[in-house]
Amino acid sequence: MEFLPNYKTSGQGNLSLIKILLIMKLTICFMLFACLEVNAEAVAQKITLNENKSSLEKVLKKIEYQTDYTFLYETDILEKASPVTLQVTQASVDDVLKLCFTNQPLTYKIFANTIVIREKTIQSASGKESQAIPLANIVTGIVTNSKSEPLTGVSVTMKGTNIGTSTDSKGRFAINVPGTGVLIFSYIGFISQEVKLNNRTEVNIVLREEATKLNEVVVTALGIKREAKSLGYSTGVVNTDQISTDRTTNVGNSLVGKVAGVNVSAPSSGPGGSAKIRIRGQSSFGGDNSPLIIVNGVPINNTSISAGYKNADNPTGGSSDGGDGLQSINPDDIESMTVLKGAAAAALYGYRAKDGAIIITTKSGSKHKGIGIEINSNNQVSKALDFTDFQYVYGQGENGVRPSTVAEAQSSGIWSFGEKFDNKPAPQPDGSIKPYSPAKDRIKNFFRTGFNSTNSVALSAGNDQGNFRISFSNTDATAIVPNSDFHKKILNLAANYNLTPKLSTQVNANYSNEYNHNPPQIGIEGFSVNTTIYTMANSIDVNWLKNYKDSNGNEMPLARFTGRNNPYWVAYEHFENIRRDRIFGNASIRYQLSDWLYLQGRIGQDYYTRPYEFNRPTGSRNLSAAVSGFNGYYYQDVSTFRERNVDFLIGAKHEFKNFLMDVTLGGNQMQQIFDRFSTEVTNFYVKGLYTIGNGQVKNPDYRYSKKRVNSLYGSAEFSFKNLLFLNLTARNDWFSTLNPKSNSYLYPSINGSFVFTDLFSTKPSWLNYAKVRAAYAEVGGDTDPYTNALYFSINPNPLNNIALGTINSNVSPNSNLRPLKVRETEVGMDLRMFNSRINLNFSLYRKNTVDEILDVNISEASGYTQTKVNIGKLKNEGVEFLLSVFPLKGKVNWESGFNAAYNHSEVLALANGQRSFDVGVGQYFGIISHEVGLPLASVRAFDYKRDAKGNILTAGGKPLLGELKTYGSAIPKWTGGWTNSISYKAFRIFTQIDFKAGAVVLSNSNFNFLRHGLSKASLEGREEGVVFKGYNADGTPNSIAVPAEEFYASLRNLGEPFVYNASFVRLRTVSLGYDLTSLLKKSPVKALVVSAFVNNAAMIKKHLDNLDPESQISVSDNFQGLDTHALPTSRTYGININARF
Amino acid sequence: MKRIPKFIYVLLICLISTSGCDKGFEKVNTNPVLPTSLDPSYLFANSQLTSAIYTIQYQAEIVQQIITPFTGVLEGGNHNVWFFANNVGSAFTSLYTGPVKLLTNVLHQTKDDPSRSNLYNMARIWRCYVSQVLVDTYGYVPYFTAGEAYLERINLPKYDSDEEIYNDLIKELVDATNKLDATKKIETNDLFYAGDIAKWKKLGNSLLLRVAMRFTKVDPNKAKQYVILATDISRGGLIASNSENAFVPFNSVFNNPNASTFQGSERANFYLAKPFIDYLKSSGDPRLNVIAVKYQIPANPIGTAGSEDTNPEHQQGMPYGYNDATISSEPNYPGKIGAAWKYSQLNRKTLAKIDAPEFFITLSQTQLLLAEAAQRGWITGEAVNYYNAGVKAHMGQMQQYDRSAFISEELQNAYLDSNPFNPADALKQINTQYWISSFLNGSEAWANFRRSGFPQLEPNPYPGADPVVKGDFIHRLQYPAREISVNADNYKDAVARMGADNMATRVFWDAK
Repeated sequence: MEFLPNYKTSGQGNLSLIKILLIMKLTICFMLFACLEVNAEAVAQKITLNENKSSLEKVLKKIEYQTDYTFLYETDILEKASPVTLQVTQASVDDVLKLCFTNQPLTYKIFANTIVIREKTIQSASGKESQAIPLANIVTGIVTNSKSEPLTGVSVTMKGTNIGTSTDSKGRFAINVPGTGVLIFSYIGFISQEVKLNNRTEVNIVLREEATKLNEVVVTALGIKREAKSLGYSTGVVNTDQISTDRTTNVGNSLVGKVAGVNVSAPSSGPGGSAKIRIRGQSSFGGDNSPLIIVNGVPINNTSISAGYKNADNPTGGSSDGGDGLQSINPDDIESMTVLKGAAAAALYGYRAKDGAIIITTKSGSKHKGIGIEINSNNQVSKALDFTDFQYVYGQGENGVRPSTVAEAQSSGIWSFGEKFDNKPAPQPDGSIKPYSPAKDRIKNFFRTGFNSTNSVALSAGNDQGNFRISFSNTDATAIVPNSDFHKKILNLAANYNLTPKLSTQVNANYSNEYNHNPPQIGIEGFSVNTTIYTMANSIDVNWLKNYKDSNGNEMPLARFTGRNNPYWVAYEHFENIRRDRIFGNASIRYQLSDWLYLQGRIGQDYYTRPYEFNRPTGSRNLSAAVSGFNGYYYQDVSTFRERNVDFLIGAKHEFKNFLMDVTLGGNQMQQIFDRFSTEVTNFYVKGLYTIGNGQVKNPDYRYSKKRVNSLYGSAEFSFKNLLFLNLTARNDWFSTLNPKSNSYLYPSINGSFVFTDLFSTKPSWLNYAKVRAAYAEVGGDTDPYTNALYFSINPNPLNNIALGTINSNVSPNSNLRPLKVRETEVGMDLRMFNSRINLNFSLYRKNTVDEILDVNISEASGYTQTKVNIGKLKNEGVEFLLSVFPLKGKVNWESGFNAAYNHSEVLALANGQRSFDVGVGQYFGIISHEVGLPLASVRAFDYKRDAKGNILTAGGKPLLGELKTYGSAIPKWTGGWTNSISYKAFRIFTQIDFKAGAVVLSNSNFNFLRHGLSKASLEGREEGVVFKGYNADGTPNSIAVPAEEFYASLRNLGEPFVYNASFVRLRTVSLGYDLTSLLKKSPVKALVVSAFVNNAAMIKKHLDNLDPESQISVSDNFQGLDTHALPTSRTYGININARF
Repeated sequence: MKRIPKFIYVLLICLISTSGCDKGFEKVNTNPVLPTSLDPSYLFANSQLTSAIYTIQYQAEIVQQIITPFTGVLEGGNHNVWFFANNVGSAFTSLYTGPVKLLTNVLHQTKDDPSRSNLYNMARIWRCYVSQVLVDTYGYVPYFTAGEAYLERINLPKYDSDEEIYNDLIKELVDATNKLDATKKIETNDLFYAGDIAKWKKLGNSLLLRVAMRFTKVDPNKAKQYVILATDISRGGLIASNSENAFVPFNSVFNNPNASTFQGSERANFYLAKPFIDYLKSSGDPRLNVIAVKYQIPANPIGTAGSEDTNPEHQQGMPYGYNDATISSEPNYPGKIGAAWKYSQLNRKTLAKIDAPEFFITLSQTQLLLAEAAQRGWITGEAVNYYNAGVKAHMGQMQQYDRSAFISEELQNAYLDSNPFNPADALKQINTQYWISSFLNGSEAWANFRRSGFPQLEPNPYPGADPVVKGDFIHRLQYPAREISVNADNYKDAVARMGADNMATRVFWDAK
């Protein structure tokens, strides 16, 4: 496609050129730039004017402004008109026009909503006034995109001439051209079309989108839409069709591999789980570095909620993943999704966007008449992936001996240190006698096929006053773990209405009802099905464990480790129910004071209630006995969360010749209130009744927290000749959580871009477009509420009527905290070459975090374990690039996109003299620390003790523990993806390969596989003992053989043998789509697309034995790099059907 | 502009006026559901509760009363090794972040408040108890500036010498006990005595007696001096009956810290040690009946553990020197029942109840200390009388665990008849009884064992024992790894003065 000059410059022509009026341009500018949700256009057809000798041009502008008519006329002809004097109130267009054109040398004609003005007379040779001639050939029509939505500002030109116009806000155009002409429709981001008129006067065109939207309009902070070329920072626009088709239950997880610099990893935690999204590394030492999620201009809560919250630092509570905020969004409702990667992009969102922002705009109703119906049905099945490579030579048993009694079989159920398989009868943990033989396929046999069915329907309608869209979606998903399922219903509503031509309102609301029933229990021991399944002896058939209750109704024993519960006991006796009713949305009102100035007020809220309960069933082997009655545990809570954002915006825009200035001022008040009422009870009077009332020991608790941030902000954007752009912003936040003396922080940002190809009169023919950009920004951040003072609390139960009080926190309060700061610099370049066949977009950035608010470890002898201080410096720097290539265009379209990002982080400083601090600890070994001078999230563990020559030292045949050593960072340095999209006729094939590299993982699971005798490595020394290749202190080689089970168990503190490269390359998605629309031309179906896809199609390369390196338990950064028995990852096969009526 | 609805103006003004400042933020940032001050007696009671700590894994194993064969997280005193993971839940962490932190706050709140002088002095006495446990466990520890992170901003307290701390304990105990005053406000929110001043004086004096007796090896004169002061009846006397024992009365809500070891996930893993069982068995001790048991299915929870064999003849303790793999090679190996071994365990219906009380200072311990003091000629009275009273007091104390553990007067007397006090062997007898008396209070049993050298136990023969204590007993515990890293400078200073941070370095009163 040839790069077309912007339509705004098309008015420089002469002769019979028809151009749009300045005011119309401004209206369009507002459409583009102002605000996504509000339409400032005039729709009323009644006109009120009070003019005294005004120019006709001015009057016509006012008419355009008050109505949705537009005027078309030749250059300069209005100069021939005489001034107009009139006074009308609520008059019709016809009446007003009659008044305006009385005694004018001009006449007019109305075509649909376009009014064409021409000179009334042409002087004939005879000097007589001829008849008013009919307008030559006015061609009108509407230009829409493939979704039947009107396109504004499409350039419509006649081939081979300078004649041209562009479409209005409703996609309409009118142009005066000969009936034999050819019209060219071109629009940024769409494939140009040529249409032969053949004397038609109406031409309706559907423009197809280009495979890449390189010059797209981007929704930026505060909902301001801007052309990508004007941005001084890097953004990523997500293909929302792709997300809707190859969907994941949590929309966040669909982003994996799609945007350069965005690192997405889904915890392996079942269909109701969270998404972990990191943009440009981690800006703070704390575990949560998630981007801010903005829906329709207002932030929503995206906290990943821990189940069994008691350890607030562990988002899974060690047991399950209760999901996050993004899961309440239906992908079918998403109109656009933009990732604002850097601080500059997000500067106007302030402190919460220190890790970038994801801007989601939901769909609104279309403006065309009639009801639009869209139906999407997505059905998937998923199968657990088994990466285990276990030994099947020796069977169940300990110390080289198989169980000789049932009791022994029930004691050694997680040890495969028995004898060689011989198929002879042997007692089994279920009480039976069965052949002593291998039982393979534990993963396949225990984990069932998961189903996920999501169906959604959307209705939309609109008229000149407003539009409306309502959608409903239902998701029913069953996890691969038995008796675990997830259900959500989402109702989304968008309504716009123009109360008057200048006053418009908009409401967006999203209601979700989510029910997560028995989310899979993952991670450490105790009610984790995965730990047991993965460590069970290799001769036990999973199906035998289905007999999980003994004659007393208690859990059947499997192993002397009572924390390795029977997985079916966990699945059917343990329960956990998470329900959430959530509504978020906003209502806004906008007043267009004049064509260059608007005011907007908005109130947004995110509110949910979340009842939650779980039990530890009576008779579980790992529970203590009850004094009387029945042991067990039950917890119930109800939490509510409310975030309210009240904001206002004032926007003004003015254009002087080559300059365009756009100023926005605003303010926001954010308030968050969270509370939770909970009761836990231990032991019961009545067996099997898990209620508060039936509990013997009751511990009620109530928590409350509130915080507020007030902000004022402004931005000013200047553009020169549409090729040089400069944008300045400033935001001041006042944080309620900080010391009143230092709770205010003003932070600026500046960014600019320069489209230098537009400067050349003769640019190189291969270079279509080139832009350089640069940005600098600061954002600040605060801390949790109530950390400035010492609080006490009272134990809800007295002991023998004696009240027990305590100091509420182990973190010594600090009342002198000030805001933390993130400073980010970014430069980049966008290039399009060879007719936009090769496009490159790259960015370099450096992000420094200073004054980080940290909980620093202090001596426990001080009474507290930590204190909060403003200390810590952290640097992230990196490169991101996106290369998209179009090897084939035409009948076959092939787009190939490769994105990659490299991020290097470095801890610059901690507290005075502090070299490191620990944030996470593995079950057996492994510490995640932040260490000065090293990348964030050091994976540390004890190495072997070595002598000066580097020989491993042993004592008694076992290796000695050396020093705590850093093996690398848990955060991948490289992330990226390679996508290919090929379309031919109605077919479309999409593939995605993505990768992560440059991180290490400490596998606690692989230690378990070794010490339980499962991994092939454990075969060494079965018969004669392990003679470890080490040396004694006196320099002699070790010759002591240690029995295998004892030897491998002794490695439990040694991390070194279990450090793995966490890199992987995987074929994430393959999908095939077929567009049936062309076959259904005569039916009411406007579009029908069927796609089939496979997610997690293949692992191309990995280094971690027995497991998927992506299998992790938590979204917190404090636990990455420590693998401990997460749910296996699964492969998903699905079909998606999308139909529009 | 005329057509702008009024509410937009209101909205604008409202937003500008509230956004532009931080009005009301102090109120917003004040937690409305938690108090910023609290009656110190509530904190005091909690400091008593949290002083009951877990002492099975090292202390009770070092004195060879309770044992597990396992390596891994369960390893410790059973194998004479230091295992860093066991720092979790250590006495250091439990006591500093528990009672020390609470008592520091109580002392600050009551120091200058004459109306709370009794609470102030009770808190001083109790801080002495807690501090003594810390010194006895670790040697040098932060004492004078401990617990002050919030109130004095001392985040990294320095270490004080064990001897200086002991001298201050004596000073504090004498002074605080003297200043308790029954005419002043009675602090009833007290887990031990509901604020009874007479009983608190007895507790202060009994604790002073315990502190004083620790000096027997290093400074007998000092020991004598303060034993005499502690027993001076004009100062209020000593604990005189089992009802005056200082203990936490655990219940079904607040469980004994040992509960999970004996009743929960580790119930199949812990056994009574051979030296303990053998001694009780050889002396025909009626306490063996109520302490030891063999369950039919030991790995099961108490409800389904099957029949209980409490026959003293059948009891067998697990010997030292083995792990879970090698234990089968011991000469008297009894075999396994499922996950468990056929060694005797602690009775889960008596002393191992989840609501078993935890005793800090008892009549029995006090009487036995007096027996030793009398034997040494420091106080008047016959050692035999104190001894007999001490033995009987502990037998009588059994029923405080559970009514089923009642030991009758006849059985008590019969035991003393068949095991009469022998002045020639007095110190051994007295301190061996003290060992039994302090069963399940690992800190005190271990401290008195180091002080007196009794009972005579064989050093732990485990092959993999830490070389510094191989062939010997553990004399102190190492500081937690976290503390070594966080409070590095003060740690180094302490080690330079005290000696190596290993399990062989001795606390000052534990002279060779």
